[in-house]
Amino acid sequence: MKYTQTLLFMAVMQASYGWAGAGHDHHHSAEAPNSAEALNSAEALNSAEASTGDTGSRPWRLDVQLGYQDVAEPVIPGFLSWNGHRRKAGFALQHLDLGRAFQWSEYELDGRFTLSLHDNQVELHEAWVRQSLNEQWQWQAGKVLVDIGLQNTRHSHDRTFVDQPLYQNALWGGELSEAAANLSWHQAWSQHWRVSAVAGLLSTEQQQTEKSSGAGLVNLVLSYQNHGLTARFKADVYQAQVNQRGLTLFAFDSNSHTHGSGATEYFDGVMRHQALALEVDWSGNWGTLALASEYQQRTESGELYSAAGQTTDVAADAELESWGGYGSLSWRFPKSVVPLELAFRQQWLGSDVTLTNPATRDLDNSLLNQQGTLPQGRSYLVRWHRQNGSLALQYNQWDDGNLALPEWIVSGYYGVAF
Amino acid sequence: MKSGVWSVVLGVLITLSGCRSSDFDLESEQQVKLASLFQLSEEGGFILPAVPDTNPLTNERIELGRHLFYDKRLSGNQTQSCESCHFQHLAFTDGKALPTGSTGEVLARNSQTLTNVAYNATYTWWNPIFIRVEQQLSVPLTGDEPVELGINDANQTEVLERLHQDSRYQALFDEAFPDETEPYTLVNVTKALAAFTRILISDRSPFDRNDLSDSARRGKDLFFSEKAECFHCHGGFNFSSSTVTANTRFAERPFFNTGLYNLNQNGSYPADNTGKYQVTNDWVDMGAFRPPTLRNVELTAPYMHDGSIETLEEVIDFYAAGGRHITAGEHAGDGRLNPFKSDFVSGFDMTAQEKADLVNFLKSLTDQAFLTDTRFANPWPQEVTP
Repeated sequence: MKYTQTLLFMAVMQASYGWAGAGHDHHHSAEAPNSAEALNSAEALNSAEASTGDTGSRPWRLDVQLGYQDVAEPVIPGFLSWNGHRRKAGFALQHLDLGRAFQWSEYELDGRFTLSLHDNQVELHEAWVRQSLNEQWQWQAGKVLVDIGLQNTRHSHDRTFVDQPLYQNALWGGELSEAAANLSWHQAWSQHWRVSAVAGLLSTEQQQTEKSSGAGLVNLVLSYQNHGLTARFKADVYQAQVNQRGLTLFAFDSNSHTHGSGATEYFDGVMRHQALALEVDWSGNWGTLALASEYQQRTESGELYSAAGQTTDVAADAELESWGGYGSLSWRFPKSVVPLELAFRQQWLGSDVTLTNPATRDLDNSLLNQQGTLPQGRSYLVRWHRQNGSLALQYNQWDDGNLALPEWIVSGYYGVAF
Repeated sequence: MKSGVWSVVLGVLITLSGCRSSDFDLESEQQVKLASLFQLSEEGGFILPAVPDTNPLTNERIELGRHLFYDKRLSGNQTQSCESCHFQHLAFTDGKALPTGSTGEVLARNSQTLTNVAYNATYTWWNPIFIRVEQQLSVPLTGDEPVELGINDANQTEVLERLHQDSRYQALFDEAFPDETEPYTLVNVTKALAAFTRILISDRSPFDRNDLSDSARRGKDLFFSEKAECFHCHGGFNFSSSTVTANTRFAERPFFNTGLYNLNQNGSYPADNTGKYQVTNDWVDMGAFRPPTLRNVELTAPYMHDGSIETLEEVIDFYAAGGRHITAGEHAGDGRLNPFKSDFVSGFDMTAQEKADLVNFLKSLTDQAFLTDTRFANPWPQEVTP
């Protein structure tokens, strides 16, 4: 009986939050039941199975997101650059995923791969296998969405807000997907409390490192569930040693994403990153109220230098401290009343960049110079949930006028399993 | 309840992060952080100069060096100090075509400005071997062809003993070289003087503040044009292509023949002033001299390595002509035709207005704060000035 309860608890938590590095979460997908409904019906297990890779009769999944925004997502200055995807201005295909889940029950093994379409290019987004060794232990290997914070393991169509928090774009290039080997451990303390931890080794491919580099990640999740209340506290520590990390410190164009080596500068050094997050969902007959808040901070220290053939000289010792966070509140009406969700988010972003022994003043004109300020803002969202999809309207209000950031965003999502 | 506690904790963290302001700091303070007397202005935007590990820049060494710089006891016959040829109000030059040493010998070359001397890629007008100010200092201190300050083997002990006997120097040497029991050496004198001269930074001119008259702006455009070619040899933040910084990895140490002379129709220069050729004995180096900084150039007349041109206007005329034609006398010869002349000295046409503009631009490089900065001034009270 107790084991069944534990399974049910795990199923609900994973359907809601995707802990234990599950990879592709469907936190707010139209098919997921809200927590109250899940706890009181067999849907919970069904939902959990869908999320954890039961191939069933519909192992494939297609998610399409189309939308409009008034301006393109800009490159945010004040940080070491990432070669990430940024949404374009105007009407565009924002996101398209095609994935398949696998399960080999006799080996306690499951897996998933996802192909994503960005900028007319297809990328392998996820491709991993995972095996349960026993009730507590799992391992996972392959290319995964790295389990840092709350947002990175969620595809864009699974997030409450249409856009990523600023820190996610500035600190992780939007989405961090790396080759990884993870070992995870879960333990239920009681019917209500549960703890899990993950330790993993990661590649640094997305940082475009050209020499031997690597990263490690440890996170700890403390979860609580009791009737309509679910809560999760998550702490992550990530550290990377990078050699010849490719940068484009003078590429201000938000459409400058390239695949392969287009680096104009390099960074050798260490990145230390910490993240704290809290999510609380409270469900009742009146709907679901969800609080999410995160804080992430990072220290990077090392050497900057220019790639061969550059006309700029960025040689300098670099020390960067950066941080970001948000707090959000959303209210989802009961489906039986109206399939509507309202959400509010306040977010911050900042960095201190200290460059010593510079060869020139060229870095004054680089992306590292954030001109002393970085944006803060509030977001307001209305989402209309439909069977297999949703339609969202989001308005962002920014305090810092130095950076042209999207204000109006419309997004339509359709997802189907087949 | 515990979720409420977490919310409060995280809320505080996020609020704190939101209150924190961002900052971008491109400064180079590591190597000279101990020397607050070394200062770079915000508007100048200079990079740190190279400071050898063997002579770290400290306030104590700078202060000792400043006292020595203005002390005539440092010369063999106690008649001259470094200042005798390097007055602060003249941007550390002496206003003469050729200076005179402590024993009365007239030197062959013009007394150079010490403006931003820390950035020189080479030292002296002609010698490519001196790449540290410590090396160059041996020339004025101990040189005997000609004699400048006139320290030699015979009087060296006496000179150092003069310093040793002064209680102020006892304190200054002890503080500058705290690990040495016998710090009164010529090597330490050299180190202290080098430390002092390294802080002689001029980076607060109207040009640095972008406070230029319309005429000076036109002159600036002309200066950096291919027409006048000035910037090829006098470019960069220090207005000299012979400039290195702490982070220069491939130093350029250029020397140029500007066509001042053409003796014997074969490109020769006067025998006592053959430039880099004096070291290399390579004819391509005949008459090649280091391009000095043009910062404070308004104050460093007369000009050229031998002080043979009186005014800035005449210097511009000289370059506009593509060299100097001396029609009579021992230096007769058409420098414009010197076979070793730099291609950058090819001559150009200019109007009177353009010439005035160029002069006004050069005058915008005058740093008044540099001329009166008390960090560089004579530290000795007037009544006890040695």
